[in-house]
Amino acid sequence: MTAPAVWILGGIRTPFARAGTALRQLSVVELGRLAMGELLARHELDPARLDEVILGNCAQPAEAANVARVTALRAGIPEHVPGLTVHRNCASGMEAVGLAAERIQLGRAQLVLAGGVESMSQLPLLFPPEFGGWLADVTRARHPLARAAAALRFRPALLRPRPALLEALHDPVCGLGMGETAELLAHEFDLGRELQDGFALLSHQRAVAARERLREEIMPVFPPPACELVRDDLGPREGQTLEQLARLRPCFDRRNGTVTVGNACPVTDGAVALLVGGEEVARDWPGPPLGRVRAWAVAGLEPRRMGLGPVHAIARVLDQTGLSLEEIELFEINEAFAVQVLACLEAVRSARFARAELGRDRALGEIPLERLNVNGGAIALGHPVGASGARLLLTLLLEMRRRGAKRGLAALCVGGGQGAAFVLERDG
Amino acid sequence: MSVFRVEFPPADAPGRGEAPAGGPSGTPVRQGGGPGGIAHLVMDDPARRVNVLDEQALGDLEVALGLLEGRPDLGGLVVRSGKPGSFMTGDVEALATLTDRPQAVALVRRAQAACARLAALPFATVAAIDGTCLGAGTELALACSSRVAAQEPRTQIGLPEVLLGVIPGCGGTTRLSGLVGLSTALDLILTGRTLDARSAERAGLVERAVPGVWLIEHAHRRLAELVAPGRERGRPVAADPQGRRGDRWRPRGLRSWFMDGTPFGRGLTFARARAMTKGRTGGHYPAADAALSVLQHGFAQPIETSLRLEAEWAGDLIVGPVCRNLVRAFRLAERAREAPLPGIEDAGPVERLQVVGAGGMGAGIAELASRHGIEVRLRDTDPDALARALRAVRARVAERSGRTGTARHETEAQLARIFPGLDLAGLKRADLAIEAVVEDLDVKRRVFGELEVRMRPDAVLATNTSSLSVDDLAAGLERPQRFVGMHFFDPVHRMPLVEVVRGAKTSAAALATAVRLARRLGRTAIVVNDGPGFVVNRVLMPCLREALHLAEDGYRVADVDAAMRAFGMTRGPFEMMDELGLDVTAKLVAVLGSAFPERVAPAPQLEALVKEGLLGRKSGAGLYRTWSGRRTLDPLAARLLRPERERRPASLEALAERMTLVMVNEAAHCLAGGVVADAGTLDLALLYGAGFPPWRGGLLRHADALGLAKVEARLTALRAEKGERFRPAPLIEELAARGGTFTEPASA
Repeated sequence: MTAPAVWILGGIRTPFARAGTALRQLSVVELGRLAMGELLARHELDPARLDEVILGNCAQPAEAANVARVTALRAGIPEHVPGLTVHRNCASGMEAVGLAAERIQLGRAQLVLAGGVESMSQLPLLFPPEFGGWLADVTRARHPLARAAAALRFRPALLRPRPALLEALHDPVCGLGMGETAELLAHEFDLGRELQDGFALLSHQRAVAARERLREEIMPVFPPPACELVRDDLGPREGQTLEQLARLRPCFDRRNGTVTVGNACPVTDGAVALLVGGEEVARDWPGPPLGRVRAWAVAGLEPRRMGLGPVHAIARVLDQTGLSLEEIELFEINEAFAVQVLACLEAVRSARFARAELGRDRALGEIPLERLNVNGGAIALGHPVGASGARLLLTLLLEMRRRGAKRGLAALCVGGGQGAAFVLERDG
Repeated sequence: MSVFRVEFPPADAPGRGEAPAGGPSGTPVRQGGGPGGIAHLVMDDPARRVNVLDEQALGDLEVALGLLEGRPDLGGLVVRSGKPGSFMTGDVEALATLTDRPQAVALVRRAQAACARLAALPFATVAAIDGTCLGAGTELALACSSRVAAQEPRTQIGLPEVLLGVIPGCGGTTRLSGLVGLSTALDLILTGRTLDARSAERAGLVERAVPGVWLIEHAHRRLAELVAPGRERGRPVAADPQGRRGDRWRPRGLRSWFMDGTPFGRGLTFARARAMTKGRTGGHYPAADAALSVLQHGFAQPIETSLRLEAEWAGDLIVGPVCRNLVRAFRLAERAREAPLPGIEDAGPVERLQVVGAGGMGAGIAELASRHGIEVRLRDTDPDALARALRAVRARVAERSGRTGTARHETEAQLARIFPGLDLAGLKRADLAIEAVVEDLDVKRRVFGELEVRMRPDAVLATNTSSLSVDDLAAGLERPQRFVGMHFFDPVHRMPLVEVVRGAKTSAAALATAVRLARRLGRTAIVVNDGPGFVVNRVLMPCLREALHLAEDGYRVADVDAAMRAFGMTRGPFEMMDELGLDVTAKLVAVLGSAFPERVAPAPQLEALVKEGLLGRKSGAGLYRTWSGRRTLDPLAARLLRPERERRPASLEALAERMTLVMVNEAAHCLAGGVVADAGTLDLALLYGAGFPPWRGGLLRHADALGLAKVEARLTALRAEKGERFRPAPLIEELAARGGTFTEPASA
């Protein structure tokens, strides 16, 4: 039995900018609203036709816990359209699209606005829980003396802030930061600093060369306070050299490390919005849809090797579709770390890995570098965690359209030990 | 049928049965018509949409009071309205018609007497205020022992009499300070501002603001409190079946105790209020002085003394010209706000607006529309213009929220309604597109060509042009019937007027959509027919040109400005040029000059100044310049405008006369040419669009007050002296010949 077709009808994203730069005054809601409003406008779509809004978001700010709902209402989407925020760490944006696809396949929706949004600039500083405990003791004490006694238990350490960003990039199960998991992969697959820097350089060079092409997916924004035009991703560096990358100090393992800020993705602000529709909607769509969702899968693995998530997820989608890697023309794998992507490429072509970890007797195949991340990846463009999954789908579909490619694959690793992958198709 | 009727709610009414259990006294209020029961004085004028305390209603009130005075056994009285959304308001109609002073004083005394009888009823009285409660309505409520108000947006309580040129005459001026304290009373009476229920509670005007559904229940509870024994300021008080223990002012805090509670502080308070009033009214509005006088001389006097003062002053003011003029201006505005328009029922609301051109006007319109819940797409091909516009909008929104305390979620929602863009994405969803690009026929035509092919066929196209002809702009369009002018004034957020311009082919539906949009934006829309300068600029420009003539004649710029300010205009003509922009003024003078060469001469001085880059306030350099706090003429402007031989005017009035007479003359041409429907519309346009003094009632009312025969004679004299531009308009000659007027007796 074949599932009903699910189409990605259109998409747009804001420029991506490193946290603390151009977009830092835009809240998550504001970023999402911009992308949604522009998407609706470009398609002249009456938002009352939407069946649901699903957004991926990792930080889920306290002031707008259901980001999707607040954003949708702010973007002028009518109140009867429900909003759902999903969280699968770095794959949240992909999860939103996958969930939309499943709703459509089940016949529960015909047209869904799905995407992802993240403002890593606006991640808060947190007080430790002990501070809350102290405060509760003080306010709850009835007698003035008891209250004074409670107040005296104050220690300056109670006020030590915990940046939510660091907490988010730390795996509570294996006790490692994301960068440390990347170092582990470097050891496991023997991937040296030069290889990693070389890959990072390629990402920048490709992204710089693709600047004009990327404008197809990027909307101009006018972020406060200056409200001056930003129309390109701010990450890609022109004239980036290997020497500059080589000079950087490892930032997760100071002594023996290989992962630097240069060969890892920066923390980033940005939003992506896609329109996902069923067969009926696609048939009446004014323009040609961007492409079709063939299959998607999520897989889990050890949290300390989360960087290999894409390999597991790719194995699953290939199993689901019966496709082989040779039949896929274009690849996007999110570049959380250069070493992590390189490790994936090694694992994919390794028969030993396939036998030991995937339960297959042969290697998955080959993902050739010249068909992978052809417009640069997250190392150059940036990785707004909740949004990247949706960005990969959009970038992949637009490049497939440019090349007339029929089949593409997008995958990313997920903090906490997961991977996600999509196979997308176009009719050439 | 009577406007006031006395009802005895049955024991199980209203709705929730007995007075709430656990009432403060624990004594349930007995209801029904028996002894100790509660009566309702219900106000419901069957003939009107809102309750108005006019002469007939006053008669009904007297009858009802007679009935109540005969029932000293009653437990209490609730004064309420039987009309949703309206408690009671004063009678504006009477202000317009009363011309005889003794008659006016007698009417005021009669109303005072009725209020005094209400105050003297032998049981407690509570006003349950729900809906608009203005003027006499508030005064009626003030005569009760206590007041409760429905905490709903429809509730507005205030004494706006001073805005109509009178003072609260039914005891309001006298009673208010006893309830809210002197400072608050002065503030409310002198500004005429209205309060919502919560603010009224905070000011002490009502005892409590409660949700509308519980209003009557709380009125009953309040009645119970008033008669029950209780504690007051820590001391026990005995039960008081007569309910004499009404709400009274108590000092709250040291400041209020000093300023309102001590003779010395009160002196300071009066002095401050007097100074503020003088600054605000410029001595043109006698009502504020009258209110101050009543409060000062009536304070701490027997109530009858104060009431007599109130009535005497009110009588003077009612028959005076300022009151009549202000009432006229008020009614003109009211008419413009509510006037039915063919097709307005069918005209769709504008929910999405496309603004093209992000200059000052475009940004202003975007801010205004987003504030009123309309989704705006703001297009400009220049990203820097968009950046400036967005910064301006953000600054305006921040400034407003700082001033009015708008909640953060509201300002965020407002900003989120604006989508800037470099292209016209989303245009198909727009209900109306308004263009605010440079004043250039070709550029504008290109914009409309672009808009027309992409917009929905039922959407409306509007231009914000001030100097170009709507018909010229519509000429190239496929469907000129959906094209309309919407002339907002600069600065958009402050100017209350929009000229909605009907072109030769504009359809009723398009016109109605534009009017409806303007009204939704809180603007007063007046419909004008297409013509050079529409109406405001058409009448104003000859005046500005005349100011230049005066400068040419040797009068000093500062004197010319002072003359018009003394006349009552908010700004002098040269200040107005700076505000408008010298380039815009020059352009408008040129447009009118080519249309009416006999009346508007070219202004080479202005063009020379524009060429030198003096554009007015927007460019930071205009005719006037501020050097370290002192305002002087710009040196270049001084050279161009300062004559070789300086002349001192014999009187400022002579200067003002020349400028106002050319305006009157142009207005007569306008009226005869059918640019506007009637004299009232024209007067309103100049009141709201050009800063004409409201206390003069309007430009044409001013001409009528002078006497048209005199106007004609002066124009003829000036024509002989100064030239053809003063030639009296045929309409003036005709009216003068048959002793007619512009504004009487028509509704205008």
